[in-house]
Amino acid sequence: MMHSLIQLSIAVLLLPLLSFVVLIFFNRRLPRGGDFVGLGLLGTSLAISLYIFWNVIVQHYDPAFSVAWNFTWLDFGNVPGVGPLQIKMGIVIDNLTAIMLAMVNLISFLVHLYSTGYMHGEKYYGRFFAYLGIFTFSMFGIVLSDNLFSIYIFWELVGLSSYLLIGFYFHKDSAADAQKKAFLTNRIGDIGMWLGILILYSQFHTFGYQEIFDHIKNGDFHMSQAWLTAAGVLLFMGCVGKSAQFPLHVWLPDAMEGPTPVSALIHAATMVAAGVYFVGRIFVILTPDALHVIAFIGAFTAFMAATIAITQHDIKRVLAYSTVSQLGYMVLGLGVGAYSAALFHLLTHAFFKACLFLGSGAIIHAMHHEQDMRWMGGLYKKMPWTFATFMTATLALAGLPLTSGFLSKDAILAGALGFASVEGGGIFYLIPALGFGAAVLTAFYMGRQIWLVFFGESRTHLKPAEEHGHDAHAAHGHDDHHHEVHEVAWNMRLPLVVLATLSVFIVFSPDPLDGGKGWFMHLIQTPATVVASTGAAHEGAGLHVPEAGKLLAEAHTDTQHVEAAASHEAEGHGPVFADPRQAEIAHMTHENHYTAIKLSSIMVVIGIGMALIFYVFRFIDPDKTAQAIRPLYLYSFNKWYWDEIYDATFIKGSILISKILAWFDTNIVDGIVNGVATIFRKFAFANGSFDKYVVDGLVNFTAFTVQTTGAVFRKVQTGKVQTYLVMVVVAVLGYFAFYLVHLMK
Amino acid sequence: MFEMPSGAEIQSIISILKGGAGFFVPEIYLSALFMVLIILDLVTGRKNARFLAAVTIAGLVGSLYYIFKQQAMPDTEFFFGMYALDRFGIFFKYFFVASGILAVLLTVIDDQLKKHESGMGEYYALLVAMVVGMMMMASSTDLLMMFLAMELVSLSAYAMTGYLKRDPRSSEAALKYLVYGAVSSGMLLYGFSLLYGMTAQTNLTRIAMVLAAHGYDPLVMIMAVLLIMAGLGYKMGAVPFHFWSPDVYEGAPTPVTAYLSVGSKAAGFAMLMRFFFVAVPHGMDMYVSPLHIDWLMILMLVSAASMIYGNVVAIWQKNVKRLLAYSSIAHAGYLLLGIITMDQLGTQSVLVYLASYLLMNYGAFYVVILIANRTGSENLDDYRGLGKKMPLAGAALTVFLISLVGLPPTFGFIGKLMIFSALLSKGSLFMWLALIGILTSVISLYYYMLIPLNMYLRESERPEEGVVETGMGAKLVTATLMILTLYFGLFFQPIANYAKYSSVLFGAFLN
Amino acid sequence: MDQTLSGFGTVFVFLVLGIVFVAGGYLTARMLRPSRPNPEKNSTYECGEPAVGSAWVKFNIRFYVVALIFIIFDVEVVFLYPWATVFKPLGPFALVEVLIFAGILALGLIYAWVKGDLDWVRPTPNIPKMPEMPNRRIGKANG
Repeated sequence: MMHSLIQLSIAVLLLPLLSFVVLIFFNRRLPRGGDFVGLGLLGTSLAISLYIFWNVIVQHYDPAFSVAWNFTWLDFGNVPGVGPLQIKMGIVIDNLTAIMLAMVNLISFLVHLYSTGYMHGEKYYGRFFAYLGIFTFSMFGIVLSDNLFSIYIFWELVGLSSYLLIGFYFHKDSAADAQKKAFLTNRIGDIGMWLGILILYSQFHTFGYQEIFDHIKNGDFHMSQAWLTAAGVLLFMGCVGKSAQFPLHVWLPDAMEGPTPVSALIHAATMVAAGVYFVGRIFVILTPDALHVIAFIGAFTAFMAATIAITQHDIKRVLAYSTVSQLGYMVLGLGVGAYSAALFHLLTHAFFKACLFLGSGAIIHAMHHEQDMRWMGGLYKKMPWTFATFMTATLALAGLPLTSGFLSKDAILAGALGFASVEGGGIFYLIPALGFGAAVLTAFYMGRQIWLVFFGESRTHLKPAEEHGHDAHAAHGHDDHHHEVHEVAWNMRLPLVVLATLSVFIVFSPDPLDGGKGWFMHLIQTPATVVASTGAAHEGAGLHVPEAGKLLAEAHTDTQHVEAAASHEAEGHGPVFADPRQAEIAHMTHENHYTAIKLSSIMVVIGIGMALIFYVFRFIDPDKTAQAIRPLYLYSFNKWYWDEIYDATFIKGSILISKILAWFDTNIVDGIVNGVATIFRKFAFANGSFDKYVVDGLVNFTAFTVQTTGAVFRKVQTGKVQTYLVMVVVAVLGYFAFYLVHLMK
Repeated sequence: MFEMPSGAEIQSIISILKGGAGFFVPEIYLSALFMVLIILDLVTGRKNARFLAAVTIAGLVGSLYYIFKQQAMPDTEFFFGMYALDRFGIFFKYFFVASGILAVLLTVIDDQLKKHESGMGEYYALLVAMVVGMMMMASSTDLLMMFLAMELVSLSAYAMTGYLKRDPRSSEAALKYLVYGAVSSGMLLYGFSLLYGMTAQTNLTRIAMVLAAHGYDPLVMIMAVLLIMAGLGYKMGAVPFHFWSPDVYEGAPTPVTAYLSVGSKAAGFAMLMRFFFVAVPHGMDMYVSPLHIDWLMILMLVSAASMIYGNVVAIWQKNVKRLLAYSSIAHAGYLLLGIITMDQLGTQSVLVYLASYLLMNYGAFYVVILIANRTGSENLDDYRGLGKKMPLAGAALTVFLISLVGLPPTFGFIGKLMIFSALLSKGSLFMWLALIGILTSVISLYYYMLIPLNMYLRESERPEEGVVETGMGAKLVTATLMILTLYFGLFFQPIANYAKYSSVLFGAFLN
Repeated sequence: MDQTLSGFGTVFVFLVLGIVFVAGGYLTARMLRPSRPNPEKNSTYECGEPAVGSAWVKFNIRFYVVALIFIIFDVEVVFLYPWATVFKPLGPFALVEVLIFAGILALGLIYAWVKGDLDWVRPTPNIPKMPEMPNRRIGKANG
């Protein structure tokens, strides 16, 4: 018997699919493009998701809660060379799933609601809701999957729906290009992910998470640790693509070509977070080496994206780079072992970033498709609701105390500090350093954005005419400039308010300074790793993890360590870890908590202060500064030239290779084909002529002339059949003669 | 020389004949049906075509019962070794009855035959006679019986070809067919007589035994095999014995064309398989006997020539019936591939291919008739824009043509796939043949697809006509054939299993 | 090599000798005879009757129908003779058998009769000619 939660989750999963099916086929026949279908179905599934959330989180309130169900989807029997091949599908519901389900569903519902205002009057209005439906379905699939195979399927499905939605304005070249870029870039990551899945499958003949974990725990992995590291890094590649981590981050800013609600739902809150979610799911099999790679990539991404964000003019691009940067934080968090902090940030970020995007959408909507912040300004009076919510979310993003963002970001940074101190090497301090650097920059660029958009005088009239040409986003909106800017309608305002409310600390933790006291950190606890081998706990010297082993040998004995962990647990800060390295990091994270709070608060203040200096009080003119450090400015403004580098290397390279192949194809392969075709044609012609002139011809041509001139019909018949028969006799005798000659040899 | 048999001897002969009659029920039943049709034609009035068609279909369906009852009987040879009852024969009995029923369905809708002045009684009677003849072709195990059966089929076919007496093309085709068929039968008979001269036997099994025991003169033997091949090749429509078929197929009434291209062709194949699998000597290792290699070589050449010639010449055709005639030559080539493998898998694949050919070829001709009824033409150019005017017929014809090409997900694909896999399971020996088969299939794609191209992508010259109605019954038949073609393309296992079960010949070395 | 002739060898020798014999006769006659042709001598010899017209005239198709029906009953008689010789030991079974046989043939005769194939002068049915299909001409479409 299926658990009732599983049944409910299946309903949650299928309702958006139903919405998609109904809308994609009938959107033109339904009134209002059928948006009420999407809204209604999503609302229903939201109600169910919230019930699941309430049941799992509030009623059970148990860190170890988990319900699973699966069935055999495909059974190939015993495949030669592979062994028994069975593919199962299944659902697992634990705390993380329940939270993610509610979060995705809530934001999806709010975006549906918001879109009824934002997308109003679009040509393909109904289709938009259909796409949102298939996206939501796929996202639920990712969240609910209990195995690598089905998550990969849904992974590709969200890729597809993202592709469709980025290119929603497919008539615009920039949107079509962005669409392709996103799709192709994601495929690179996905190939890696699939290879990683196959490595694991080749060892364990199963795709199920839990089964794989158990196998690794039992030491069934017969290949070297390096292969496990490789599998981990390859699986992480999926996350690199989907969560826009360096070096595959280039697609996300371009994806802002999609409608703004889509940016909020897919490219800020949910899909891009799927990468982080996935790494979280497989967290326990990641080896320390793999985690190092992840941590460095995350830190670098966080910092790099932040430096780019400070110079961008497009309101959505700033938010896009900010998203990349925040995703970098999450990945960093996972890499340093701050599992629950990273996922916490995933949740908080989803709310405030969605709020920011929807807010920017409201602004763009009100400004008649103006996206360039240089021509905005002075909006806070005209759009008070938007301003208030945008401001709340900005503070959360910047990580000011009293906001949700502070709680989660602080937890990550504390984890990074703890990690660095455990790993001990100087190079590892680079990770928290980059993290704190990114925090400064975040505060700075968000301050800049708030000021440019909401304060000062309106600069709409300053926009130079020639800007029209290369501002693709605003291609169809300029003639509306003279209209009055006004606050948006209730259906766009309500989502903003809900999301802004969810960006306040009290939702997640009673203590504004410590997320660890909240329900999230209690329920989502760092799971014990399965890779560092069970032997490690017993004999410190024989550890698979050299750094941890060294450190342990220096500082603690095993017994002491376990005691330390136990006391740690008693304080209510997490589970006991069998793995010494993990335990050590958890311990040091706790130690560094207040350092992190202090440091990050200082950083935020510095960032906001800089923004005030540059933009509010104008002690320093930002333009002049930009001139003064022009190379640096350009480097940031041009996004570190990643696009150009990729263009020069991979894209040009691929084009070169494809040109060579095309040459080969046209000149050699086609040549052969055409040659053969010519021979066949000639042969067919010869054969046709043979039939035409020789067989039928002699007599039949006579027949034709005779018939057309109305002469005797009789002759045709006799003559023709004789010819035929002669042919048969000649054929028989010909073969006989051939045989005779053959026999005589 | 001749001695009067005694009374006891005669009694025993009679009892043997009586016993054999028990295994001969479907044929006797259908002969009776033939007579009933003649009598009904005499006693009913002029406008009896539909009534006779109904009686024919009912009668043919009834014969299925007797064939079904034969399935429970053991494999046996009776009538002094003239005739066999085996699974192979039963498969073909089903096949020919189905083919006869479909031919009647085609006849009913054909406008030309509808207007025929002297009624349709003879037509249906001949059709039934041909079914009997084809059954006998598939089951005869004696040279004389084989010849008689083939003559029964041929004579009925000549008469049916020339059934449109007022249409000079029909008469022309009939006469050509008659003369050509007569000479071919003569050659077959000559080959039989050579074989008889060498062995003094007419029963296939005994011929094989004598040849194996006493050896043979290879020169005479190859002449006999060649001549027999010429006779059978004429029935199968394989190059270079095919010359009659384009003219006859074009001139004959379209239902008859379809009937000939499926029924009589399949009968030729059945007889070929029985003759060569049973009568031609073979050692333990099937490639030891020199003659074996020789006749295999003949078959290979004929097959290759048929595939190439049929497909390549079809490219140049503008008349759809003629095009299908050339394509049926090509299909004879593909079918021969399955025989060349000389094993059970090959036989099975031939049976499956024939089953698929039955559906798709009748289907194609059915739609051709429907279109000819409306446009009065079988010209390719007159198919323009028909996809819109006759949506169901157009879609169905496209499916049948895809099946004829041998593309998935149609039954034709399964047939071709099985033939080629049977061929390739013999290793690289027949690789070149498989290669020719696949290349010519590609060529066939071109000319088959010309028809949908005209139907869907070219505009009609008379666009004002709008959708053309074809009638409920015709729609039903079209849709059924189309659905079956697709259905068996996906769920072919039952047919493949039955074909495997049926690939057992009485007295052949295959089992 | 075997010095004796095979059976076919004998036939071949006979064939050659026959051709030589006939051809030799004609050749000798041609060399020896005088050649004085006249119209009477050159005319076709037809049992003493003077020949009228060409031998390649059209005969009425009904001659063939009647001839065919005659042949059928002729063959029937051929079958009836051996049947008659064994009639006694077979008994009633033989009678039934031959009645079926004769009945089938009789049915054919009746059919031909009813359909009017035995009437010498048939009323020509006035049926409109079949609609011509514009492209239907055998062989032409081959190109």
